[in-house]
Amino acid sequence: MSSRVPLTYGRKVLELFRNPKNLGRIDDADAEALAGSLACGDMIAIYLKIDKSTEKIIDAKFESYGCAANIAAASILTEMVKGKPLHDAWKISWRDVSDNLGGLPSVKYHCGVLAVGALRRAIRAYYVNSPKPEWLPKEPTPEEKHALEEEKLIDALARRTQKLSANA
Amino acid sequence: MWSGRGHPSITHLMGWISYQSLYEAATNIALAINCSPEEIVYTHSGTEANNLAIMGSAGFSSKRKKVLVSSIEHLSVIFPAERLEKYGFKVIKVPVDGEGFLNLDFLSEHVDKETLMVSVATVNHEIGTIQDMKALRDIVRDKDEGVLIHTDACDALGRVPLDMKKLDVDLASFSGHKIYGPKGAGALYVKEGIKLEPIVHGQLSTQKLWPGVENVPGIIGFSKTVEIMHRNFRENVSRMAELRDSLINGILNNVDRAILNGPSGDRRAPDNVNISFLYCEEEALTVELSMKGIYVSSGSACTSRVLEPSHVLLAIGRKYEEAHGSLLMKISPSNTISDINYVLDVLPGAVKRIRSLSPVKPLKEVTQNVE
Repeated sequence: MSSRVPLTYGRKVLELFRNPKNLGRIDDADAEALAGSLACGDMIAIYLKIDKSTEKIIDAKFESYGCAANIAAASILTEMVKGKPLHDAWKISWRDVSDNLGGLPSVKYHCGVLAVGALRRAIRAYYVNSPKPEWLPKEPTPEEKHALEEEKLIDALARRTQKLSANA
Repeated sequence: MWSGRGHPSITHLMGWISYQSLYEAATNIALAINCSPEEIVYTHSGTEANNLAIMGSAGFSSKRKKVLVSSIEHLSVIFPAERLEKYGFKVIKVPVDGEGFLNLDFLSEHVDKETLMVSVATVNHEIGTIQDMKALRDIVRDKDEGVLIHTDACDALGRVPLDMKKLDVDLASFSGHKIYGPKGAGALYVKEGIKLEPIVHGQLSTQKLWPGVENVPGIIGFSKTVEIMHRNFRENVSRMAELRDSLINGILNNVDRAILNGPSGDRRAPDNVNISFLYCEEEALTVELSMKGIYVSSGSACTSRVLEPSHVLLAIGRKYEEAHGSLLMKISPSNTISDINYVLDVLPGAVKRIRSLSPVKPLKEVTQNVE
């Protein structure tokens, strides 16, 4: 294993950073979700338009407050889910996101994880007021947990810092 | 032509030439900071020099078990200091104000006969705050003559006048690449009579405190850049400060929701510009600017899984989201006003584009859109 930490972006990441596909909001989205926070310096919003009869994703858009990898990950994920039934979209892993970007530097894997976390939150949001399909796990998946942990961690850190500066 | 090729500890002609080059380089550096060449210990970086200063002085102390560092020190000071806690030392971080100036009352309250060392950078590496080292020294010496004073002077060299005799510190760290020299060369000034323990062990080189073969070509380059930075020193520094102010004022006037981190004017290093762009993710901004030939750095730890932003910006009271949008830009002596104008042309658009990708918009913009 290399002792060095690679941090070079591949062509695909830079291309999507420069010209992101599916950037923006869907105002009448059928499902949307946010993962991460401003304080983390890492945040992804996913908006989905869903065909109710077939449960296929007909349109997907994103917004991102994050690094170049974060933007590229959210962008490629929205490309990957378009036209897919929700069940198939749910199965996309952060590794699939990374592979579709031609690989992410290891220190940026969490960007792929956060994007998938946001997508799965959006899919769960879609089923909040309707019968849940069998394939939808009851417990949060690792990607969803990751988003939650990131938000909780930064919240705890921010509170600790505020406490320290109050004492100083 | 053989400079730097021979092993400086071996007694053949090429070795002698290398040895001589090291000595000449030390003389050059010593001349710039007013000390003796014998007081210069070469390392391979400022990080190594800081580690040697802190761990090396702790190695000699059986009685004094307290170390004071400012809360905005470089991590190569903070981490070795924290490591000493494992060996029974107490580390106290001295708070700073909103511009990064040390709380001297706090310092005065905490320096005592138990204190081994006080370590404060002359110039802060992120926000360019120039500390009042004379006031610090007077407080520390007045409390106890035996307390060591270390200053990380990596960002001060070539930017502020550094005279080791006047400064009256015991240890000072320097780095070659921070003054545009080659990477891989640093130095620690160790005042005559100050005892340190080596922290790296191996075959004796030309110096006792840092074994291993010296990076001779790197050190020659380091010494040369010290010489160049100190030619027309005052003119260089005032020119850099003018460019710095043009850049700061240009950004603050042309980019909304931008805030300067650190002090202004003479109390700020002449090369340092550090600005937080609210609602703008900094790493994305550095990549965007890099694509347009502007190379700047960001302050956060986004490259790691640690989500905590710059400890320096948090210490001066910035909120997490403010600290995440910070850019550090350095003016080099070779920059001109046309470089600054180019940055001022490109930067507002770059910030605007990165902000446009974000799901979080400033409240004002949201209301405008609704209207």
